[in-house]
Amino acid sequence: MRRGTWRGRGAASRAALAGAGIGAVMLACAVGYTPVAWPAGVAGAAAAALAGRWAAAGTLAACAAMLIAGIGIASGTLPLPAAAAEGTLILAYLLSPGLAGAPLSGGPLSWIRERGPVLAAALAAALLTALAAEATLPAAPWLAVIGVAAVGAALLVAAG
Amino acid sequence: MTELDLTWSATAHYRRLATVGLLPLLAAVVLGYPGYLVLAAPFVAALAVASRRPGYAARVRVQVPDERCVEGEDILVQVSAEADGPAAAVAVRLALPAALQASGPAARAQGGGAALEASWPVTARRWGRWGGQVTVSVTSRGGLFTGTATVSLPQLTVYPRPPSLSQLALPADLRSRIGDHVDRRPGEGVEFAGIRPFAAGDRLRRINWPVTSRRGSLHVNQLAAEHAAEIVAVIDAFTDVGPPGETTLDRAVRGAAGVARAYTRAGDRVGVITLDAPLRWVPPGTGPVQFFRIAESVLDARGHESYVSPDLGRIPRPVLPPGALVILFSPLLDERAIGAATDLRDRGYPVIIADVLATRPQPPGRSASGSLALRIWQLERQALRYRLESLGIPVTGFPGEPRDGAGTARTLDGALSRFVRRPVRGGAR
Repeated sequence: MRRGTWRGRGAASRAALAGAGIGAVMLACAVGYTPVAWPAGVAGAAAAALAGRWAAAGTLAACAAMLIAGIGIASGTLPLPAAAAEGTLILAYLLSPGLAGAPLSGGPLSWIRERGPVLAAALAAALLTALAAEATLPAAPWLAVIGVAAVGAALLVAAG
Repeated sequence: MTELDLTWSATAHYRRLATVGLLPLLAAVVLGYPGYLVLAAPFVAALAVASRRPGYAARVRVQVPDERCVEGEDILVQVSAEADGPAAAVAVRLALPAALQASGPAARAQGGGAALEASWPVTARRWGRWGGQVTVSVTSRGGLFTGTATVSLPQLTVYPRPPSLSQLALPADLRSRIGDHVDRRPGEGVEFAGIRPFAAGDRLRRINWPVTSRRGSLHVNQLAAEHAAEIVAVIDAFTDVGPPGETTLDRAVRGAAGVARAYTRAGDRVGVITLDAPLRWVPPGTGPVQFFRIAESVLDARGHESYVSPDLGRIPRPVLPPGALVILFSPLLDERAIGAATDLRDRGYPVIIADVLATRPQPPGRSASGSLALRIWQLERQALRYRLESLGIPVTGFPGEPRDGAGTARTLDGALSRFVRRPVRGGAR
């Protein structure tokens, strides 16, 4: 019979390290394509370093990466397929065990087995969107915006 | 194990994903740039894939091996929780009233096993009947949803801790029941009471030969009778003031429990009456079972609000036997309790009042009128005590035993010691 205390400090720190690693790759890729936005990269790195202790810091790091990627897309330094990969990296960072608040029973393989399908689906969706965005159909962009917004709103309502 | 339906809701992690995903979506709409949709697409896809809420239940078993204890003792609460589906974590949280204090934070189980066994020692800080709740939270794999369910703890009974009472105050006139207390009347005890001339029927072994040879006629030793006392502890439940755990009612109930334990151990008959609406009582009895009967009955003293004056005439005669020593534990703040004490004294019962009020009103600020009001209040209390003493009802203070054993507060022994050598008399005034 266990006393009512937390007994997973070692596992928690490993999860935080894994999350920090994914965050570093995420920010490095974003800044690599858009060097102009390096201050946001530094701020994101600082936030990612604090993510193990403060969950909101992880969100800020993801937002920083999103901002850098947005600048890159707007300035044309970040190609859309690379933006799709960057978006998937940001998602992977947010799904890392240290941030998700749902520790895994096994090691990294277990995480890849559980999150892999979701990340694959996310990457596929991003690539498809990139393909659609590059298509030269007059009404396609706004149709895509409305469609994705409708799906997002439906998901928010369903989540309660 | 009890199967509980979980109420599922999105976690903060789900909302975080949705928020981060919405940012590029909004940027695309506001700025009219479809390229940003590429950043939003992974989040929309991930939420779409994982947005199905888990529908499984949880099995919970709550065990309290010993549901009864005395104030200050520990009760062990054991909880086993298990998710019926693939869960990332199971957490259990114990919610208890202030009278019970659990040591240790919320317990969590991690991993795919999705099961948790935890136990908490819970310290009972205040007498009464208490409940509690165990909340089980199951986090789904991925951490997007959490399911919660609540199960009630079995009712825990905490008996008052009786203060020690080694010297017993007795009524001046003991009843004719065989007991351990030496009476003034002659009888068949073992204590020497005097010498008198021999009378027909006296036992030959009681002849005092030295006195007989000096006086020239037969004389016998006279022995004192040994009788049991009848004690009725009365609890004033009309008023309950003071900090939680040390209220006047807390002290009164502990005092009554101390009286019950000490006198039942001495072989006396003890009963209890709770001045409340309706009046509640336990007829006098003896033995350790009677102590627990009294302790069980006083647990209901708390939480009744009433404006009805108690009619002591409705109490059956066996509950309040003639000549019984009445010990009233009261803060003397309610006229109904004071009236009950004078009523009992008028009926010829020896009555002692143990004043359980340990706090005094705090005047707002340090104004002169506040200090004057406090002074008047204290004078009124003194006048009340004097009036009761003049009616033949002695008043003693019983502020309660110190919790750490090192305080200066008076004990129940100290409160009743003055009546040990000078028994309280009843009868007509």
